[in-house]
Amino acid sequence: MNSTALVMMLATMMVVTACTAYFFYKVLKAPVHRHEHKSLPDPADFGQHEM
Amino acid sequence: MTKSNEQWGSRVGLILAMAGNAVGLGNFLRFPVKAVQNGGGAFIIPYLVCFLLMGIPLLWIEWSMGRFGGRFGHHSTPFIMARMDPRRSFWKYVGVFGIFTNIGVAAYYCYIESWTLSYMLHSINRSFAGLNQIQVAEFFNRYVDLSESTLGLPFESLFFYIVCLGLNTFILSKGLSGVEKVAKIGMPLLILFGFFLAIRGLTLGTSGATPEVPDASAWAGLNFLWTPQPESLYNPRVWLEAAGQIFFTLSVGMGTVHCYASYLNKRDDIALNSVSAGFTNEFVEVVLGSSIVIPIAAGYLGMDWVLQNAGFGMAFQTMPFLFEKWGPVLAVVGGVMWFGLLFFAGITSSLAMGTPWMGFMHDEFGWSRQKAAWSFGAITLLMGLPTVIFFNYGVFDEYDNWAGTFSLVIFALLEVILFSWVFGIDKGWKELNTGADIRIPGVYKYVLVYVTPVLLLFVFAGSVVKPLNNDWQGAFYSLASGEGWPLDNNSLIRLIGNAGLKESIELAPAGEREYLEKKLFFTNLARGLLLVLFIFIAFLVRKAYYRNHRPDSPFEIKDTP
Repeated sequence: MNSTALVMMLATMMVVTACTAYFFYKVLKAPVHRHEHKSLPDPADFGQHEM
Repeated sequence: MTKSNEQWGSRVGLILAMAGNAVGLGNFLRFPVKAVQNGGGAFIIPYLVCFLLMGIPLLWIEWSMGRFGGRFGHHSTPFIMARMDPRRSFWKYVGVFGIFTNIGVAAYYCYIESWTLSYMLHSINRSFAGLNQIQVAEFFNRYVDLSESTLGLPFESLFFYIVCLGLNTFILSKGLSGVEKVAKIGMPLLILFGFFLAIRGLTLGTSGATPEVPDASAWAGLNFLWTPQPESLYNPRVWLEAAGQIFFTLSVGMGTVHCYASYLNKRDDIALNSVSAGFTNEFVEVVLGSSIVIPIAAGYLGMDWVLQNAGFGMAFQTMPFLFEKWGPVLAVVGGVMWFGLLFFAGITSSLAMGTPWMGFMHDEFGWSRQKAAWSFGAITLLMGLPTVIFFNYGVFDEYDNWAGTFSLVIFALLEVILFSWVFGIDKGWKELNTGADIRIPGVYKYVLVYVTPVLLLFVFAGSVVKPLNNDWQGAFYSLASGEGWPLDNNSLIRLIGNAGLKESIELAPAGEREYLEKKLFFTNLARGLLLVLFIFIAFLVRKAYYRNHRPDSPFEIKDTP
């Protein structure tokens, strides 16, 4: 494999992998919002008509 | 209206389901072929630019629209869009695309999915052992021919199609938890299988060379795929192909992302979630997708063969033959992993296609999950049967052209205009940033308003006036020299009147003419079916509007404070 192609391949793959890993790391580190307000009553439930 | 109590079980589950929706067969089959055809390593530059300027913004727009609509109890695009611009009544009909494309695409997509399921069994059964390359290719032709059978089962391909559609419907009937479970199992397995095959592709080297193909080398495939050809950056075709690839790989313009995001809470993050799902798709496409088909095929058949034959058919007509070269055990392992990977890529996408219909019927007509899921299965089966029965008469391609290509681009263009220009970028930006776990660079506010719509406009214009053989430079020279714009048969202008097919009929010898005339008939039949489907959904939307959404309707859900 020629060196230009090898550099291009490794650089692209590393950048894409690093970005994916970074964003997943941020997701796992982020505080969980859902459970904080999931237990609260949803204001939309008031005055809600069920069919 | 009926309020849905469904929610995603976990954030990772949501991201994997969204990534699974985006990761499809195109990641492994379309991307490497496009890269080979458009300048190898240089293709990645416009590709990544388009990902940042069109892909990510479209994901943000769709996630924002979905979560916004979910607040009002809408889980499908007709009334999500109507809610974003209540003064104009036509948006709900634009939103019809967000249900229509899913059923239209699922109808033929499940057929491809069923091939992967069947080929997995054939790999275990060693059906390809001892067959030469031509025989393996013919095996596929026999498989899709209903009058023949490769397993001894009558109507084999139809049987697998129904099994596959039934499986999709059954999982959908379990609701979001079923979809999430499949994503949580399917995505890690897909990546695991992809890694195994990619390592094989990257380490194959010249070991597959034979006296018949002495120059066969996986390195040659990788060289071709990754060596930058800078001159290709000046070619408008390369940029259009890159934009098109980004557009189709992310499954935007379909209405599935809106639907998934509509089950989020008002303050749940969408900015980081959408980028994570988008990059997961890119990881699968760039890292795994580029390391399997092209290097393995070049490693055994040579780069010249790949250049002449690169295409979708390689997955079924060539790869099983190549796996047989790995010996009896690895042939089974390779086949199961390859078709298993494609199956998981397919099913995580086709499940997403069922959810907008289910959300719509539940929200507007109070249908239960089971009823909505099985009705989706029934309509998809009705629409899909012609693609199975008349596969060789172009029904499949026609569905792909209209439901799977043009509808997506039109819908995406209109939703960007709605979000950035009608709903307003200030409101849109606020919606996007509510609950965000990352800070979105301010420059994206301008990208959303100007750059993304313009790029989409180029993609749309590119499909309308696609030049002969996709040669844009040649077409511009031809136009400048007064010879006019040579249109390709796949351009929308020529496709709409079946110009290419009609020309072929005129030029064909008598025997072939009969086949082409039948093909023309079934092409028009496919269009008719798609039109009926669109009108049917538009009718349901109209009925739902008069039932639930008139200002005096008692069933309307008001905004949460």
